Amino acid sequence: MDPTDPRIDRALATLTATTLGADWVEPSELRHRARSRRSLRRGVVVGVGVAVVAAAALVPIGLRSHSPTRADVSVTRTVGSAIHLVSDPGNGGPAPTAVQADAVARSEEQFSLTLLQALSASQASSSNVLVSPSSLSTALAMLELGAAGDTQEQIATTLGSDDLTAQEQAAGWSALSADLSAAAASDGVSLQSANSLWLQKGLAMDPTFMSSLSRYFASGVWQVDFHTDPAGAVADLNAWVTKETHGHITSLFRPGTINTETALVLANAVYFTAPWRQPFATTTVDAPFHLPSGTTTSLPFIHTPAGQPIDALAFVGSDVEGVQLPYRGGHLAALILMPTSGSISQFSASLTPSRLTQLASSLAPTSLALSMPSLSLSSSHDLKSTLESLGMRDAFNPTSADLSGLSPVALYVSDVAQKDTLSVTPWGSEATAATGIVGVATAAPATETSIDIDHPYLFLIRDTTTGEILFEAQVVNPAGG
Amino acid sequence: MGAEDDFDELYRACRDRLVVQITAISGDASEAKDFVQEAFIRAWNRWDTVAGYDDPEGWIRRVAYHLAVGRWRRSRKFVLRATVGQRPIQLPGDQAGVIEALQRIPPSERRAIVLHHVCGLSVEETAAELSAPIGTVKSWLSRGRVRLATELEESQEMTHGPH
Repeated sequence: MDPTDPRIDRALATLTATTLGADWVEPSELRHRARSRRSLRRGVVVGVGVAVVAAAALVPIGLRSHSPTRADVSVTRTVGSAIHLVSDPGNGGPAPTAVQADAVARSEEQFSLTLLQALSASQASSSNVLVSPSSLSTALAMLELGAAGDTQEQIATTLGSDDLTAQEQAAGWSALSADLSAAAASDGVSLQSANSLWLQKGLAMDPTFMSSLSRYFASGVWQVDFHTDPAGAVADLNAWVTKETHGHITSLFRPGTINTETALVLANAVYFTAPWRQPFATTTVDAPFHLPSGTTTSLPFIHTPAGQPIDALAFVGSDVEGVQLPYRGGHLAALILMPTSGSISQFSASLTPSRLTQLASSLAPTSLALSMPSLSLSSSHDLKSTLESLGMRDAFNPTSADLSGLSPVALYVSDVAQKDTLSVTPWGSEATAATGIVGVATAAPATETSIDIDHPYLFLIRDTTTGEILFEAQVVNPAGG
Repeated sequence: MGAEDDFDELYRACRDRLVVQITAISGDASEAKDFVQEAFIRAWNRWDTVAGYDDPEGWIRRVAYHLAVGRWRRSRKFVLRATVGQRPIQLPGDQAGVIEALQRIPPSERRAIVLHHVCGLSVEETAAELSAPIGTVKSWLSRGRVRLATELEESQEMTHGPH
């Protein structure tokens, strides 16, 4: 057949029209599943992180300065004092690929450990550290799309992704997010990441940035008036945060962070909730936890049912004990690492991606009797100084920041804030066993081990395939603080 | 008409053709149906945004496409979980033959042909989707048609014997 033969076109045309006799899920069921992911409330772990990058303008912004309307942005509706804009995602830039996703996951793992070490070093040794590196990375990746020159290079270096262009990194996050969402959906757990851009009314924006933000981050765009009504803008932004975190975080900013000088806010919110694949006993028992001060405190521990060890991956090393507890479906898991000699901060400081991989590879199928504290932690971070210490300096400097890819108006970053919550409870689901049957942990448990997480430890919620760390907690005192 | 009605109407109107389009890329209709339904779930979770796009179907196809060609496409765990207990989709014979022929040409050429000739994307849009230069996409389309012609001819000969 000649390649120009019209029969080829006719053959391909058969693919353009059809009615399949398929067992379609009803659209109401699809909507129900979507809602279920957004409101799965009974999960054993709820982790929420919100990262916000707020940028301030170097010059006053007003309606008279810049045209607020652009052909690539259209108004769809108003909520409160905020106006929702829709940006055309366009078709420019690289398409998301698995290669970029893997590269971003690797760099995110490195950034996660660096961030943990920096936060641990900057806080008192008696304080817990809780942060979502995934949420922060996403917000910074959005910012990087609008950065240029040294500002862009420093953001990329801080994120450990300087081998990728900003567009490639954004494409990688897009692919990673799609993969994780699909995995979470397949597992029946809820993992939602939402992005938004809050713009000063009248601020001119770069259309390429707006298209990229829409295409790679599916970012909602809201127009507000920081200039004359910062309190109203904060109220609208907090309403968005409250909605996306299912009410776990209701107020994001320190007073004064958002003011009449604010030009825009880039925000990411991550919400994760999932039951353990194998349930713990439904009641907690009080047990001693050893604090770094040398004292002990009595705390409620969740534990495996008496005489009913769970099948888990674990190891007991000479200086560290580790457990990997899968959530329903097994794609996401909590990796718990407890050093048995030295301090938790020393242990965190020694962690590298290769060391983490080595520890993870030490995990072996184990019949495990486990106890660990229940958790209900929250944290609030102003990350400007931390990011500056990691090399991201120019973005915060009004005289050297180059965010020209974002807006023709000279901008710099005034604050980067994040709030997080994490709770760990015994809850398990009847559905757990049904989804755990496919292709995971087929090796028979070879040993029976008892591990008590009763010293300071690391609690990482991570993708067991890529190593991406969604949340990380350095737990010094599970009672909080 | 409310948002739910809009969503339901879009789902019913384009789910079949989206499955065929994704099947043409992945070769597995049942799996493609899972990806399309998953894409609709994700669309509803951000319906305020997606509904405002000029081409919501295009957004959903893009999500399903990336699920189909991404990392999870290669994971049987995901596919088995998603499709267990469901009746396999039987494509009409003429479609099945074309899709089988498409699976025998290189993936880059197959994706270019499906996006351009089946999904109706322009060459420029196809190039953006595949993250490839326009010239490369034109080359894939040209070479792909040659290979597809050969594959279609061979499958016809197998079915009907030589002319």
